[in-house]
Amino acid sequence: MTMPGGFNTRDLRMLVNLFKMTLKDRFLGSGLGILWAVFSPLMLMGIFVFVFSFVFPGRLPGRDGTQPFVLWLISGYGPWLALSEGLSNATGSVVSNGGIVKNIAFKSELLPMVGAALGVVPLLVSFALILVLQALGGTPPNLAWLSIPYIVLIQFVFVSGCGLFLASLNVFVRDVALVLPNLLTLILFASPIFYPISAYPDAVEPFLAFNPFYVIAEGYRKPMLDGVPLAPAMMLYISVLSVGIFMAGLWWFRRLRVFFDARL
Amino acid sequence: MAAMNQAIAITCQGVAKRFPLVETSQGWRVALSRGRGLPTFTALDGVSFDVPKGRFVGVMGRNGAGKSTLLRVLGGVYAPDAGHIDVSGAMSGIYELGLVGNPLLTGREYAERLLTIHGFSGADLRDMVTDIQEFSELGSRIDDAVLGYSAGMKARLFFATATAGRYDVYLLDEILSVGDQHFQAKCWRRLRDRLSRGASGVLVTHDWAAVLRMCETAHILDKGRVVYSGPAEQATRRYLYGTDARENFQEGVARWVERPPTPILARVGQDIAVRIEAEILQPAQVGCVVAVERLQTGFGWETCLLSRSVKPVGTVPGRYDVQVTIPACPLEPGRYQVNLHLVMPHPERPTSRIALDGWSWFNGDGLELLVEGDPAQAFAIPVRWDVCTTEDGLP
Repeated sequence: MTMPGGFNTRDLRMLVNLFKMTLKDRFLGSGLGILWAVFSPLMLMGIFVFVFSFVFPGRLPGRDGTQPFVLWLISGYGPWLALSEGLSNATGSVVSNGGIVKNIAFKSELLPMVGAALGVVPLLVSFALILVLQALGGTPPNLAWLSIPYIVLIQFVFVSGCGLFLASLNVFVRDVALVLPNLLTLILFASPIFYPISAYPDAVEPFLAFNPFYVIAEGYRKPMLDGVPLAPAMMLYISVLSVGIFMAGLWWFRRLRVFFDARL
Repeated sequence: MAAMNQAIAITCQGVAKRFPLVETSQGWRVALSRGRGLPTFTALDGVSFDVPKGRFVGVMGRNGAGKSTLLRVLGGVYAPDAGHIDVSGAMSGIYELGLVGNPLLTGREYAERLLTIHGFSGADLRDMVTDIQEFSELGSRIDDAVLGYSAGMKARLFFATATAGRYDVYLLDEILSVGDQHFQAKCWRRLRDRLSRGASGVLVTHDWAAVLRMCETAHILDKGRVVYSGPAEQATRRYLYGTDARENFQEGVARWVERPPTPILARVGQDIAVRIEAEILQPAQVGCVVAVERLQTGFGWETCLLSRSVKPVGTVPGRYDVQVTIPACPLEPGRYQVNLHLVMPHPERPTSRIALDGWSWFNGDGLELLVEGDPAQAFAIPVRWDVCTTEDGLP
């Protein structure tokens, strides 16, 4: 069976296998093993919740109390964590798997996609945390939650697309993987994730609203906190953008793939 | 005789592979212009050959000749810049004897991983892992991290894993230079077993003896080009001694007058008689030695018949009829090569001899001998026999 982008069911199976292997390798040899996949995002979210609730208390317009703020923070930071982790993994994926690329015949474009999929783990952890917090606060999940799997898919496509571009570039320009963490921190603070969009000057607000990182974060926040899915126009915008970036990234990756042999 | 339209397992046509020579500072150039204008290294250039079904083909060449690149291109790991490759059937590639992946994995996990990537699962996979544990003789150490394995253990695990499945096509790179003699013998047995079940493959190696044992046909690769294709024994000679390697014959003492017509035809159980005329030019103790050799795929190059002592031809100048007779040909049907030499004793060291003239595979002009007939009447090397058990046979 063929799928869009020239992939088939064999590639899909390979993607699943590679995902399992990478996840396992990541924590291999550590005492707690796979539990780190849960602890690590929990610790990070804990730190930010502490900093923004007690050290620099943030306030949300129209909502009082610490609990709504914590929920708001996690619902934005969790997806961000997923996005940045996915993108970092994807970017280094081809270089760090050079041995596989040189010795096993498979579509190497699966590697950045595996990297992007690894980001889904912290995402699920933050979902679980939010569900627990909401249950404690007496708010059951609402119907709008049903739109979340679609946003997860869109995020995967978006991160895969960026990852395909960056991973193949990183083979030739290794600076890419080195500059990425700094760039991600910059984007984090330039996106309305730690503070509401209303905290920005009025002049930049309309532009920020189209920041894909922000749109994706809103895709989770809206149903979780307001009980409504992302506005259809924004949903369409982010879908088209993500698929476009994915196709462009795939084209770029395949264009450079034949030269990997020279640099791995 | 091989049929004209024999089934082909691997077709490789005009394959070329170039690597751009990229320096670190030029990374952007490759990314933006796909390396246009950069100097390239031509690893393979116009490589063409076929691998018939059920055969192994050898590829020999010196370091840097492009052997490993060729194997990766055949296996689909590298995309060729030109040419066409067609492989029919499931393929297993052993490109380098390194364990790819995390060294913290245990031997078992490593094997499972490699098999999973090749698409095995469930009960098949479990059986194969059991087989790998047995074949590699790792025993309980299969559950230790690969990190602590010796080089030999790694090689054993790797070979066992790569050949655990029954594939149609094997791509093997220098695999038989690993492990101790005992394990090498096991590897040979396994490959022979796969070959006898109709598998095909390419064996890339410096080890000419391995090529003689596994392959009927071989190719020599030099600077990315196939410089010779032909019978494995000829290829080996070219590979070892170059194109103009020949035995040194002392000239002017004696010579063969004319090469007999070949192939020499013979039937199992009937006498073989070949008459050749020799001419002695100078007084000398000229004698003749003969050897019949055979390349048997899977076993190697064997001397089947050998005249141990030198048969005298003559001592004074003149023409002599030399008659080589093999009474009641004991050879089983097949193709053989007859090496025929005129020799004389070394004047100072009587135990060694000086070659005066001759035909042999080493010179690339051995006399071909074609034996036909009923194999049952022949004495085959290695000798084959049956063991029969009869239930009520004992009185």
